[in-house]
Amino acid sequence: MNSSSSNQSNQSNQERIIKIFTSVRCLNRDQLPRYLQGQMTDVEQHLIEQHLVDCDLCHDALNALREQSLEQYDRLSQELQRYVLDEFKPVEKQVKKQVSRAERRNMVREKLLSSFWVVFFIVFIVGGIFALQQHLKNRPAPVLQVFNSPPRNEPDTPAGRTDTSYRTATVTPAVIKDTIRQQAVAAVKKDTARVLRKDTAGMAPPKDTLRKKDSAVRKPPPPVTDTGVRTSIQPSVQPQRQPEKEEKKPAEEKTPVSSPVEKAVTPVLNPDDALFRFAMQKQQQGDINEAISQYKRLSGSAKFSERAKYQLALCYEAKGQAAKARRLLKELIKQDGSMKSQAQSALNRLH
Amino acid sequence: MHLLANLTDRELLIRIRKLYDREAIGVLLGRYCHLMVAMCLPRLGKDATADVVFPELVRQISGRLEHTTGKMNEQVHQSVYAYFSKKMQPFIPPPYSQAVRRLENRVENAGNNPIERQALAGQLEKAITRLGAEELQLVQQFYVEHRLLKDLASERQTTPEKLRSQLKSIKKKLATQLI
Repeated sequence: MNSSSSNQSNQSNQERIIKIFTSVRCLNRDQLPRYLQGQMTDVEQHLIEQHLVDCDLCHDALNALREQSLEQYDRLSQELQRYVLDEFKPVEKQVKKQVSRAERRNMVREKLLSSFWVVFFIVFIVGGIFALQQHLKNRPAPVLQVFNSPPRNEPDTPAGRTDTSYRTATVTPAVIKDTIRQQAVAAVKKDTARVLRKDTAGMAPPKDTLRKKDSAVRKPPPPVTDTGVRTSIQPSVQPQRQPEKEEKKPAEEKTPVSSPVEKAVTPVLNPDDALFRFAMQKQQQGDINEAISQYKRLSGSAKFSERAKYQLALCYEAKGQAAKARRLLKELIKQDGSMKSQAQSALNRLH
Repeated sequence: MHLLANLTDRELLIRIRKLYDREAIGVLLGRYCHLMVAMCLPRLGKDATADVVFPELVRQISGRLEHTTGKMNEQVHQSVYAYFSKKMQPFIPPPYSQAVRRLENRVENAGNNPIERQALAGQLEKAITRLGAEELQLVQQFYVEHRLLKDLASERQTTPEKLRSQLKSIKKKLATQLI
């Protein structure tokens, strides 16, 4: 019993010693006057005195209040309390409204931005599709590829037709064939007369038969200066070389045709010829770049390489690239081919 | 506001420091405004009216709370003192106060842990035995026997003020011995 009681007293002593450094809250608004008026219990009073040992604020406040009226203290402390509450009250509705307005503004801005980007991407995609369509529409590749494709031996080639003509007729679609034929006929019609009139002076005299054909085709010259008809008139311009080819041609080519124009067009329908015509047509239409690219493709052709080079030079001249034109014409003169004289005259004109 | 009223001064100060919570400033100032009024009352006059003094003091104290490290009561006391003495000095807690505060924090952190509390009590008892006889007697009478300052002062034929300052110096001694 004695030991337990001594333990308890020890513990209470320890607790009391620890309370030396246990922090106590400052006096509240009611405790101040109560302490001054002595309206506290001993325990409460001791607790406050324990706090007063540490707290200068409470000590000074109590000392100050001893000389002042408690009414004034009550009034002023209430007013200050109200003031502090008003000054530091929670965020009001107005502020909330302002915040919400700012948020709304941000949301509108974000919406506008997102809609702008959506419209931008739609326009970009539509523009891309349109450009692609335009590119595909203007591309002459399908026709040219057909004409440029290497000749294949068709098993069921009908006798009496040349390989070339048959190949063209079978490989290309009917519509393309018709249009090209029409274009070729038109080009021949236009250019024959003009070339005959212009170029005959510098060339060898054609054969009588071809001259007759040409005279039948002859028409008033078109305003555009071009030498494209040389493709169709080549046999007449180079009578020394052509006979070999003409001899090889099947009988169908030599069969009488209803009109002289068709007669001139029919033997020309091989891929290189068509390509050359196409290039000529582009040149006449003023699409110089396309014409240049087509002429370049003909550089490997044995038959058209010289003429293509000459036309290429003319294209470069028209484009204003005189140096390139001059270089090509000089090459032609060096080659000493059939186009030498024309190249020379063109070169002189350029100088 | 009601929830913040339940927080201790330390928690409110942390909240103000970390979140700059104006509501917490309001709660904290509300706890001490009556003491501010009591301390200022004898100093108010024609030049320093309540309408001028209190808003300015509230503004000054609220401005310092974000950076304060000491106790709130010390901060308010120093602000009022500085305001009326026209010495605008930054609040630096006295070194003895820092030692006492550390020991108070240790006691607070020990909480209900009996081992920690027993260890602390043992250390304190040892430190108390090193005090002089008069100081030891005063500590025993005031802290262990729970006698009032008024009674002790009359018994020793002195003033409660002197006893208070004596007890304060004893606390400082104990705190510096233990830290």
